[in-house]
Amino acid sequence: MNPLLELRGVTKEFSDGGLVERLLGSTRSVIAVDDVSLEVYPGETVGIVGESGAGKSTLANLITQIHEPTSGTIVYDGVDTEYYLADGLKEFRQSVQMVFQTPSGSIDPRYRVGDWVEESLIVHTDMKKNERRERVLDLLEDVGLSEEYADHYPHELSGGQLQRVSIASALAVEPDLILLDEPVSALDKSVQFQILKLLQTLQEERNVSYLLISHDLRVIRELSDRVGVMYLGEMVERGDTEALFETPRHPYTESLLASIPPRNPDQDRFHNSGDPTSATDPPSGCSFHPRCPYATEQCHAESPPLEQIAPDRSTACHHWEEIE
Amino acid sequence: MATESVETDDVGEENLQSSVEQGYGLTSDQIMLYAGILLLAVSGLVALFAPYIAQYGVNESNVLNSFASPSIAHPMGTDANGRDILTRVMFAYRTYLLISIVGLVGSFTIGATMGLVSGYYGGRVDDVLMRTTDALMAFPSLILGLALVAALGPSQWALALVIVVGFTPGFSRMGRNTAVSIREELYIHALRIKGVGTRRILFRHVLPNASTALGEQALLRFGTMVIVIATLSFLGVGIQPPHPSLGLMINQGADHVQRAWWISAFPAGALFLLVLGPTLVGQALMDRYDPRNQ
Amino acid sequence: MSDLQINDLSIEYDTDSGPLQAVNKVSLELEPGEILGIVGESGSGKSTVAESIIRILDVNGRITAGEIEFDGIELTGLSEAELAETVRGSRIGMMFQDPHTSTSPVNTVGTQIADLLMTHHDISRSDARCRAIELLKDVGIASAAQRYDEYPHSFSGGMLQRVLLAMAIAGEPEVLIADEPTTGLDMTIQAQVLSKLETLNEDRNMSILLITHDLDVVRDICDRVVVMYNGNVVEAGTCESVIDDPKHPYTADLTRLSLGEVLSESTGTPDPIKSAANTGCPYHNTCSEAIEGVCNTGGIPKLYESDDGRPVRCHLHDPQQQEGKQ
Repeated sequence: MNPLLELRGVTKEFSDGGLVERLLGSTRSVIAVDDVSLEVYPGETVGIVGESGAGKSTLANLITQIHEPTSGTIVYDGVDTEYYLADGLKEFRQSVQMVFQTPSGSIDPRYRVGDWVEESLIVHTDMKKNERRERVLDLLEDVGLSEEYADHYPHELSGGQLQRVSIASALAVEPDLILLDEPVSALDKSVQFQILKLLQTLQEERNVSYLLISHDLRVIRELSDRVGVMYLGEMVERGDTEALFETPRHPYTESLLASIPPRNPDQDRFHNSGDPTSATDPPSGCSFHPRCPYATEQCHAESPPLEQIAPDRSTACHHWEEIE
Repeated sequence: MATESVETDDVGEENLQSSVEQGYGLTSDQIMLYAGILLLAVSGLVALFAPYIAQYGVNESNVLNSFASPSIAHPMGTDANGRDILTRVMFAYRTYLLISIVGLVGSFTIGATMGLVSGYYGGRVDDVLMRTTDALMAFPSLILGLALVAALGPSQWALALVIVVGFTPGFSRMGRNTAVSIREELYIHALRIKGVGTRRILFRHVLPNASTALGEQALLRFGTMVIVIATLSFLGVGIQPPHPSLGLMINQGADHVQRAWWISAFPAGALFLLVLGPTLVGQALMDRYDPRNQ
Repeated sequence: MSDLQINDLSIEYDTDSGPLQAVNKVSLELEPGEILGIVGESGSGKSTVAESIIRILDVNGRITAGEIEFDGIELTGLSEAELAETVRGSRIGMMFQDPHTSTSPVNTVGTQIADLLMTHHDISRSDARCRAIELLKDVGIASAAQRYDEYPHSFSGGMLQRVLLAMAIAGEPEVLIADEPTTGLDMTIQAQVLSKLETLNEDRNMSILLITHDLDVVRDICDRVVVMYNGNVVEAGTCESVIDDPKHPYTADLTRLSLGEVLSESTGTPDPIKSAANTGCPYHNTCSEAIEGVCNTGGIPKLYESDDGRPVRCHLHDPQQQEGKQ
């Protein structure tokens, strides 16, 4: 089976300043995403976990074609995304949808929620008004909202209800891939569970793929089949979710797992005092080495590449075998 | 104030109910709003029906009855030429409202549209527009007004033009700033991801969201426009006699303040009320939509 | 070391549509040296309870009933001046949720701490500076001497949270109220903050009232926990008993995601969204165990006693209800 979405060695560098500054060498640049490769197959959920500065938002923007990669390629449905940008953006937009972190901010406050769900139908289909209306009500029902919600404004609904609306509107044009960007972080715990349940049910019914981005490992574990761990723009470990959680093969993954409360006492081995190093001034060699209890001279000098160590696992660490 | 950044499903239910229930008693905002609407409505009706409700002609002078103090026959008294002040005030409302509305519609449409479009697209166009408006706004508006009137000769249309030229830069800047802030909103980003085209985003999403803020500003500016007309008239370069003008009437009455205070006072009061109406409405709308009150 | 006791506290807010009951007859006790968690979501009233202790409620909030007793002193009876001088900061410190709005952007971090130190202790500015730097080190900020002279905007969220902690303990209080100290922080930073709180509790025997919506955090460092929903206490007890064996359906629902239960074992389709008006138990619409005719009428349930002696505000634990089942 071919992957639906493929990133091959994608790098995104941002630099400030124009031509003159560049000539003078006085620009600062940030490598927000550094040589990241991943695949998402039809019907599966791939989780991307990382903390602030990991490059998750940039990754999302690259996939949704808001930014273009500095190098590397993104292939969607067998076609290089450069083509979509040039000629087939609408087609792409119908197939790749997104749900955002802040439910209330991501819906036009002056739009009734039913009309909001209808927007993509208006843009992508030739359906007539009454057909669209029916579809909107069906979609709302699918996400657990009764008909009467369609005529309400966003400020009249709670966060959980609004997120359901966003999910409904993402599903409206039957996309093949949905990017979920921290879909439950802004919601109360009890509601988080309901929304995740909903997402899982919808995936089973429609065979849609999810790319789930979250800083919360507990959320990642609930939905993801496979996981990629990002640190300072790099993919440092990748593999099957359960196995990765059970036996991490990268020190950063290990520290993340140890920090889920209740914390593992081992947590203190990671020199986590101070800020994670900044992306504008990354450390030499392996970017995690200043915080790593396994670090050696080699780590300081050489940046480890992401290598496959098992059929279902890759890691970017010189000393992965030492991690129990 | 410690706020909790997470939300719960309970809130939605309560909100559905409260949009149906009404509180008892009026808040100060509501009082302002209704008072303002009332004033506007009255001003509008007076202006519209002046020819039918006025008891006298605008320039019907009865020299024998000049400087008559307010009475039942002449509720606002008469002026130096024995003309009924109430009638003149009503017709002055007509003129003022007409010019202001034309001026408002003109400056708002041109200015806000230019600003919104330029603000949304950004880049070169935006830069050029902003420099131009900066230049225009740096110029003292009253002087600009006088210059225009001197060039075109005093007439109602000249005054309308003065308003348009004077207020367009302000609206354009406002429109531009509003567009810039809306452009950054998450829902605009969401619309782009959905594949909604730029034109649709501008007209169906940016414009409506901008309209509340801009609308309030427009109402507030309306009051200022009326004052500009009155000031120019007061200086003698606005509405020319024998057409009735509040500003001019105030001016003419100044000489007789002791003997016949009503000649200045009533037009001044009428001017005040004419400006107060839209200002109250604009202010009330602003307060109501103030995010702090949410 | 002193006891903090809250008895039947009720708090109302004045709103445009009339008075809103934010806290309803809440009782809890923070014993010396312990870490008590108050867990609840938005609208539960947990922050309101905390704010009322040192009297920093919003202007439109009022305590309508109940007592707050600290070391035998009735706090609600103290005047503003007495409270400020004798309790706030010096005996009960508080750290808030959003570090960026709780610090002054125009003063250096060091000055802000030093100012607090000089308010609570009779020392010179240079002494205060030394102590402030010590405090910054205490809360785990590297290069403390340098960072003393920096402004809040050059600190990350996690770092600034520690600064808030430093400010809260500057007066060496016996009690620390920490309102959502880990919300919004990255998990690794969260872990550090929790470590720090634990250390402070151990080293200084400082009691901590930890307010959070995250049950996992509670399980991590709290000794006992109080669960709040919709302004009421719905369950209380030791962390193990409440989290491992929740008696109230709401607590049980809260624990589901925390324990990472596999979703395929879950109870079927998503809960329908309620739209009916609410009488009876505030949780009955969402509750999977609600009893028709009992839970949807009658008002808020009383505080019953569970089979292991804990308070539970749920009809399921009403002895009459249980008898009726047999």
